[in-house]
Amino acid sequence: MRALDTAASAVFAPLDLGATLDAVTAVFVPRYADGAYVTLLDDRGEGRIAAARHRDPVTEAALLGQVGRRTERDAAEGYRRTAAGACATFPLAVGEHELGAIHLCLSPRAPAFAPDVFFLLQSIARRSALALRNARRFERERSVALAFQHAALVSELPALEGYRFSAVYQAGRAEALVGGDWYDAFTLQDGRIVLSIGDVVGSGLDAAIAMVNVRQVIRGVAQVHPDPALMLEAADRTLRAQHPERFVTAFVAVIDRVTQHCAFANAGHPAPRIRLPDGSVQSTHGRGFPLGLDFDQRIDVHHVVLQAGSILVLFTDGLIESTRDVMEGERRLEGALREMRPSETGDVAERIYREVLQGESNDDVAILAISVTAAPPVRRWRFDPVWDDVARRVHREVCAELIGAQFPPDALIDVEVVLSEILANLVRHAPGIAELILERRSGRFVLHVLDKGPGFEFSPRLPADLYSEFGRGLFLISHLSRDFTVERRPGVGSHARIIF
Amino acid sequence: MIDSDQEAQRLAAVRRYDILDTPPDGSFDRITALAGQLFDVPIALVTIVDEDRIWFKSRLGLDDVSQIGRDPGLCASAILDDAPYVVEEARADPRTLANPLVAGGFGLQFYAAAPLRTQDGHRLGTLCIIDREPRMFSPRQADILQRLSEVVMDEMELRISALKAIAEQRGGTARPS
Repeated sequence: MRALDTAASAVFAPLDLGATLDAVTAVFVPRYADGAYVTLLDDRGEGRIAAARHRDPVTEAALLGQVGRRTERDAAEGYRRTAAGACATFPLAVGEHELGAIHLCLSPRAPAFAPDVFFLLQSIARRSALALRNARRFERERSVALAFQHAALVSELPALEGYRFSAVYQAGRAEALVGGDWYDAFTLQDGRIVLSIGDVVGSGLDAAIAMVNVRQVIRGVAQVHPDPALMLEAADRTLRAQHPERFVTAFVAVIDRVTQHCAFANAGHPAPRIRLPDGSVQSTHGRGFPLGLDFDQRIDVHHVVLQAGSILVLFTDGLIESTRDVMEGERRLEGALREMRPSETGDVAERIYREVLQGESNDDVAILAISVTAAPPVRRWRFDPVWDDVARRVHREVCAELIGAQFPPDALIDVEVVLSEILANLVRHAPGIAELILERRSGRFVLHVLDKGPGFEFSPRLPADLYSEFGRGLFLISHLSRDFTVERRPGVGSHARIIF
Repeated sequence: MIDSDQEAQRLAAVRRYDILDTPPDGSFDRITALAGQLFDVPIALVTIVDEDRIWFKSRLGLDDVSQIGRDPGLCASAILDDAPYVVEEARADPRTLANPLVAGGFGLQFYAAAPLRTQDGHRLGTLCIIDREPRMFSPRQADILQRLSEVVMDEMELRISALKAIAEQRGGTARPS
């Protein structure tokens, strides 16, 4: 029985198919047989040689040459002819499920298998069948999870003037299960960039499904209300409702190219790093707790300005933990970033991957890097709207700019009404210097209005507040534009975006 | 370029008003404070252009600098004409983009100045407003800046009359000891 136990623990040790096959043949050869080869049934039910082992290296090499061939008969017959000793074939099956067979051979001079050995071998073969079935399932799940994960990752990073995106996604090695790492980057209609990165704790298909759910919830909320705290809160609720056994670390950010303002929130994720234009490297603030834990946490939103010359790097823990020394990982990451030039045309994420891991990675690793190379090409008007002659000049110049940019003349009247409303609103509600910024984005125009008013939020896609003191003007703007949102700039004022 | 005769006369006028290196004065500070509020700017100055320096009689938003060299030349340019001198976006303006106050760490982006013009036509310095971000400035705003600069001049005239009166009372020369 001890021999059987030893054999069983050997064949069950590996997770993937290749290593399990290797363990199976090693159990038989050389202890019980001179040679062994395993045939497995393929999708069509035909046997294929999957693994072989022999005491004699020459015979083994010949057998290994046959691996993958469907010609079971040829190979088996050929081997029988050369070996010409005693042979035994044990079926590899689990219940009704037939996997293939294992063929054992003795050299011509060896005595035949004794009955008790024969019985032991049969038992080992049965255990091997179970181990092989598990390994196959594991492989299948892994490939499904991988396919799932790859389908879930962004196929195309945003292409925006003045910004360069790069990403690395590396699934863990074969001996580990697929994890739930993800990264995501996309642009909203109004030109803002939404980033997310995260890690579903655990692995396998379930983790991949939870990952896709969380990522998708973040995407969905960003479309309606791109507030980093709301995005993470929605992900937290989804996890607790649909994947109560999972928890997730995540970081989300919303970048406005025009103001170079980046709002972000973190839920237990390794803090992304920012390389500033002067070459220094900073950690982003706020760590928080992972999502999906059974308690309510207030998610704080932090802010940073990403000037031209900055690089923001988001990553999962596989990047800094692979050396088993997080401090060393962080030191390498920060060192690599300091050396980096944002103007470099190379793939920043790939370079970080290489320089930090130095080929040592076993874990899942996701890296998303955003290099800010230049301020966006926009037209700005900074003025005090209280002076009506300045306001009129702004009105005139914005319209002239649109006409110069081939804006459809019949739609210009709407813009003029909107501009009048904005300027009137500024005078009424937001004393002080205001800024209008006109941005052209793939055939559309985004008019940004930044003021120093008390600050308020407005989103036409959220239920309207019937008691809101902001009346007709805002709804007029929202009707005459493709999209209109107002966001509070904490301690500064408001930022309205009007898309034409 | 600057006519050296004219400049010598102008410098004589500056001396006559006897204001260089005098301590802060509430009446000038009230005007720069008002300009700061009215135009919503972080910096407002009453400057006197001396032979080789620009000295600040009143400075709102500039605590640690009381004068600068004449070379950067913003105020020096502003006193070449009676009309207000306005730079809305200094980094894009050929007159100023190479100016050290613009290109350097100070990061000046907006500058508007009205000259301090004496009754006999000498421009002693400026009332100027400054911002580190570009901004639009209208003729109406420039007009009001100009009127404020006239108020500054009124204060200067009052000052010089007071100095004269004191001197006469003491029966001495026009210049007090």
